[in-house]
Amino acid sequence: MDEKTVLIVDDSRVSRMLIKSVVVDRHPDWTILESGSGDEALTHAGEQIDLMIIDFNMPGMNGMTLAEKMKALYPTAHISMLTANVQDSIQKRADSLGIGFEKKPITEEKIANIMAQVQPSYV
Amino acid sequence: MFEITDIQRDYITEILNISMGSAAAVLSEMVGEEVGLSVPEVVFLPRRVAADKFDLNNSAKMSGVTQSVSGAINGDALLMFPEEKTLTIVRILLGDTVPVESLTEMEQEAMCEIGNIILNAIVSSVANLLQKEIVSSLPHFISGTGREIYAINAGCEDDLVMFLKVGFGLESQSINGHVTLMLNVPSLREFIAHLDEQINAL
Repeated sequence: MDEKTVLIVDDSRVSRMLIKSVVVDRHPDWTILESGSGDEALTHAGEQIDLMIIDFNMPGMNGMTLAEKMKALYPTAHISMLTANVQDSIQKRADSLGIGFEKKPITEEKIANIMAQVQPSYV
Repeated sequence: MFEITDIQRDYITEILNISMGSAAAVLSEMVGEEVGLSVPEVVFLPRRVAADKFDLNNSAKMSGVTQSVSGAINGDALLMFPEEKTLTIVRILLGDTVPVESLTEMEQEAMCEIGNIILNAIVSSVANLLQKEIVSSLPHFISGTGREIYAINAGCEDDLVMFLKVGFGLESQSINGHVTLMLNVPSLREFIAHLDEQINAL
């Protein structure tokens, strides 16, 4: 099996739990890294990361700034913004950065769609 | 006294209708049932008067989430439920992801995320309709009587604010809540100017 490492960045512990439960359910062999802020997420820089699921509104660095930094560090990883902030302006910034954009609330289907970006058979 | 024309009031109500519709769709997706909505109310009142007027639950305790907004509009967005229903809401939304014994511990955190999603759905919709950007702060859990909650900015009781209020309900759970936007009058002139731009373009 092709094991992947997923980085979940969200200041809400509840959101991280919901995302994690879908990932674990569908792919228990994947490694999951969790961060409650952008700064904390950057401490994982250098580790293997294949997929990043990033919230936008967080204390300190916002998710878009983190995504820009991570995109530079991990040009081949898939990054998806998963946010309640569904303003057109945010979505356009995500598009121009070349990252995915999913609207909260978190559902199994949305997480599966994001996972499919690194493993198409897991839709 | 700040006044708006009938067409401006109509347009604000419609923006709130559409925005609340987006929030209801989000809430419906979260709870898996239809969400009923009330007709939006738009009034201009000092905070203190509004707090009395909207303390509809006769001083019963409410819980909820507040976020400050700035940019195209400035003020506070609030989502409120009767306090005794918050645990039910958290249980519906988290399902069996969280063990029952952890639900109380997670109650405030879960409510913050629920509020974040619902309030952002509204604020994002308003921003998109105005074609402007609105920045929202991180969500805060609040609890108290309606009067206490509406006076969240202590010292500002006499400030005139625009109250936009919509009620919603989940029939199967007998849960009724409401969302309020309290917009500060200094930013209202700019907000009304945005509205006029849109109305004139119709």
